[in-house]
Amino acid sequence: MMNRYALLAFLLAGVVAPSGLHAEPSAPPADGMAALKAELAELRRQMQEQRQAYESQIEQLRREVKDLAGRAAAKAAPSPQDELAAEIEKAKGDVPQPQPGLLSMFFNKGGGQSSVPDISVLGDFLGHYVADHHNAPNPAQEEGGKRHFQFREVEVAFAAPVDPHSKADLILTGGEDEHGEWNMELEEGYLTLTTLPYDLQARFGKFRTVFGKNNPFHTHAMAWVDRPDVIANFLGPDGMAETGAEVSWLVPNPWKKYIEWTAAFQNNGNPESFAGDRQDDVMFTNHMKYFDNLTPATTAELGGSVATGANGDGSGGRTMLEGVDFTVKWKPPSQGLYKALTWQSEVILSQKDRPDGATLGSWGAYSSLEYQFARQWRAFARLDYSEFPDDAQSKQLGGAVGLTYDMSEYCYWRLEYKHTSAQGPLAGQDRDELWLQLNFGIGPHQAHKY
Amino acid sequence: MKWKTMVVLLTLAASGPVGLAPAWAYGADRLAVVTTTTDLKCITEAVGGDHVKVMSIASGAEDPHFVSAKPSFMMTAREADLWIAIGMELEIGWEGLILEGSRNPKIRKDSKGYLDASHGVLRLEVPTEKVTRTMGDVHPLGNPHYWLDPLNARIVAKTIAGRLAELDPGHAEDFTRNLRAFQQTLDERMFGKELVDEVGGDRLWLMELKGGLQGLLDERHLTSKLGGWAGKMLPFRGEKILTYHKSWTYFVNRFGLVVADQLEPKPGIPPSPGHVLAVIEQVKSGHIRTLLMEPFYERKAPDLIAEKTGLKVVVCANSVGGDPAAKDYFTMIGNVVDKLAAALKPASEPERR
Repeated sequence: MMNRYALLAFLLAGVVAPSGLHAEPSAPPADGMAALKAELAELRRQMQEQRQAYESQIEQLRREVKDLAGRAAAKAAPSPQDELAAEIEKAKGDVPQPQPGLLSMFFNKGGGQSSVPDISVLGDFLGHYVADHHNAPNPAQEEGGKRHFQFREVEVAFAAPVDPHSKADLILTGGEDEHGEWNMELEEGYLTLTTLPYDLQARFGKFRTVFGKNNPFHTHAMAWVDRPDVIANFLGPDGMAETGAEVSWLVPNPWKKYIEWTAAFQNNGNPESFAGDRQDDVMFTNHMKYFDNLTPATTAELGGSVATGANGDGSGGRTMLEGVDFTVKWKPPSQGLYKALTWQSEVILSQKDRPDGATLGSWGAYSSLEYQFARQWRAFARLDYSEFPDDAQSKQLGGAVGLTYDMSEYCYWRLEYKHTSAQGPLAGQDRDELWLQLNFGIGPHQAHKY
Repeated sequence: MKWKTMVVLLTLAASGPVGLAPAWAYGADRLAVVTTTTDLKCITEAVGGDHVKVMSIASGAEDPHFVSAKPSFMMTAREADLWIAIGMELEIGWEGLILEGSRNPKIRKDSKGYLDASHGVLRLEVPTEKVTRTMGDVHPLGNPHYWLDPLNARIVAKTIAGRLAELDPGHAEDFTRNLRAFQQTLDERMFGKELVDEVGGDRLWLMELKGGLQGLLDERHLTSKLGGWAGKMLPFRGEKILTYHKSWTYFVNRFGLVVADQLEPKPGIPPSPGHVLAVIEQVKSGHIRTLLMEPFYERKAPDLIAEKTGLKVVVCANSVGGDPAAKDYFTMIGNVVDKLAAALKPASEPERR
């Protein structure tokens, strides 16, 4: 604005000053006045035009500035998408966080790195009634029933990754024998290498031998109170677990079926079929497992196992075990909480070298049917037949029925009745047994395999 | 030596098919994705488009807490590039067995091929006290049924798109485009196309999240344009319902309903006779008209309560594939909305369109 007044003053000065310089004391002539007026009018017109031009330019600049400011403002404002994302973040922050407990720094699995492994404890309590019948000629020799309670097993399990390549499992088992004596032992303790190439995994330490279907399972994960006779007689009352090394391979195949091959070398310390206390060598086991879905509700599993090792009879003889297992499960997905059926069967054959050079052949089998008929109720029946690896003349034939009540996922009650009759040298030594089992678990215990 | 012969035969039998094994059927040019549930599968397919091949472990018809860790699932997961889980310990009973059994290092929990879809979602019922088993199956990280809130489905889709783009950056633009399309469809199903066209999906969700959606609609005289699921459920805001399990929390929270009680006395604990009697009394005195439950729960207790009180039992799948009507995520939620709205509607009122 000041520039415009300065310009006006300058122009006026330019007009006035020369005339002032040449001013005469007398009045100007009339045509001179007219020319001056015309000149002034021209000047006014020019000034008016310039003023309009300047104002036009200023207005243009104003618009441009406003436009730029608008663009900048638009650029700074978040889009609805960004606003929504920010609001979601804010809402997430509003969610209350779990209050850490006193020991959360050690046991909280929800966040942060825990310095202590998963620890679980399982208890297995039994009430056991057993009546042995010797079929003696004199009824006075008949043994009366024996009743006792037994804390059969306390299992303390530790599990955690060791590093990105491995994990460790340690399972200590304490139990009360039938005489009330307590024993604590390492049931399993092994390191698993989980990142081996070519679909391999390996275990080192003491572990339950992958032989057949039942043996790898812990007591609490079985469908029955007791292990089938064939397992007890050929692998041990608690199954077979030895120290050694194992490798398993998920076998690639064009049909995309689950085929797992497992091979292991373990100490031949199993007393039932191998060397027991005279363990001085290793046994070799080999297991193949094939699994398939027959329907969305039905699955089938077929397994084959072999185990061989020195049997410790002092003559260098060996024992060869072969096993075949077959399991069919039915569980309709939409009713899976309430209905399920499992049919599981297993056969074990044994050839045991004897000191006289002969080979003693024996075998045994079981077949079990378990039916879940309600959300918390399961019933089972099992048939047992078993010879003995050291005495093929003696035979056991047994049948068991039972009922399981799942009080929750972590606690069940089970009632089982079993009758066992003996043949051969043990003929007449029949047995009736009744168990009441209570099994419970606390702490995070990983589920067993399917 | 017979045993040696057997070992050799078994080994040969095992190794024979190896040479015949073809490339993984997923296809080399597509990301192989395994999801724990069908809802995640549906969302992943929508976002991934032709660049992914997705398989789900759970079928949609079963309770996702209690899926059997079948060895065949390990084969499914064996060659996966990406494993997507609901998380918040929903799959705690079976996921670890499958992941370990698959022997697939790409989908280990510490790798890029493992995605916990709950990261980013809005959580409800996060316990603020020490969780013990006396509470039943309470999840320490919060209620894991978050996919029943359409907003969480929107968030999950974005999370999945981000991870797909990380694993397959060459198709990142496609994943972004598919994500926008999924969100657009979801928004239209939620609020109605007309309203979304006028206001925009992001803006509507923003106002919904701030609790100001109704105010916005009133201010701009748009209430009559509210359609979709929100429009259908609008008349029933504040209505009290029963549920069987604590699995509908997110759904009822989004649509303004109130869960008066569950049939399970505690999460995962089957209804006891005493609790059923208490629920019957509650229904009679509390003006509760509807029970919402999944098809995989037994009808015995719900039918007894219905018989004693006139309660309407609404059975709806809470996962894709759990019901013939629940073909995808949109029809799954739509099915619940339709059935619930029909049950809650007073007998004299005509059906709302």
